[in-house]
Amino acid sequence: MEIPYTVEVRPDTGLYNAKMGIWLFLASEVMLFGALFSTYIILRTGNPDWVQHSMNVPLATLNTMILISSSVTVVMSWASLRLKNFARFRMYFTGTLLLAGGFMVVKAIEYNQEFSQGLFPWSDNYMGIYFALTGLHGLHVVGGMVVIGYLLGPGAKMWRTAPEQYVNRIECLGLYWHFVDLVWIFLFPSLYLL
Amino acid sequence: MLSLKAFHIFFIAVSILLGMFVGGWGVRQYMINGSVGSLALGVFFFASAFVLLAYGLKFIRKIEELGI
Repeated sequence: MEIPYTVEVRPDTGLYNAKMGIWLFLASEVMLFGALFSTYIILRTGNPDWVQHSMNVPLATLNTMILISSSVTVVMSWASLRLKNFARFRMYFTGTLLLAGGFMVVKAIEYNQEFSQGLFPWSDNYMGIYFALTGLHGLHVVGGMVVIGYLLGPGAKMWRTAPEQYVNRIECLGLYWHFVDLVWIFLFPSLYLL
Repeated sequence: MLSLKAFHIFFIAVSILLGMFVGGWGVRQYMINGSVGSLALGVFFFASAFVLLAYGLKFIRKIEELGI
């Protein structure tokens, strides 16, 4: 039996299956990051002796620009596929993967600087929540890189066998990637500036 | 709102707001403690917000033109 609504939209939801699934997943992610953000706000506002370290703002600014650029490349790769230009899709999608890798390299440099200054997750509440939030976000970036790598490599065969489904997969990945970028847009001012 | 196109436009809008916020923060820091680094950061983010605004408008125009 063939699974329905893998390409065409369900009349009741107006979405195809994978898009419904990714939005439900992202809703659970909002709850996960929302809980951690709430923890940060409660810990910070409830502690009159809050210790706020000055973090490396230039590196975080660079990472912000990298992630915003990657959101552009991922949407361009999806648009290229919609226009049936696979070569251009590959170029933009590889660019997204490289930008994600660049983000992780910058983050590793930043962590290394913090460790060399004796700042660890157990140092104080701020460092604890800083490493929890940025570490979890970094894991999401790595997860996205794995999926991008798969869709660029072995998963790309689907472009020949089921092109519409492949475009949908790229759209779902793009939605996930935008969510990961959006989390960083909130992390940057919360942890580095305020 | 649930398509990648719509989410991208929303993301760019939020990024523009971030640019304006960090821009304002940088100028405020400069006025409080005279930090030139903060002012440079603020100016950079204001400029980024304008670039993103121009990009966002071009993206909407182009995507409508191509019918994606």
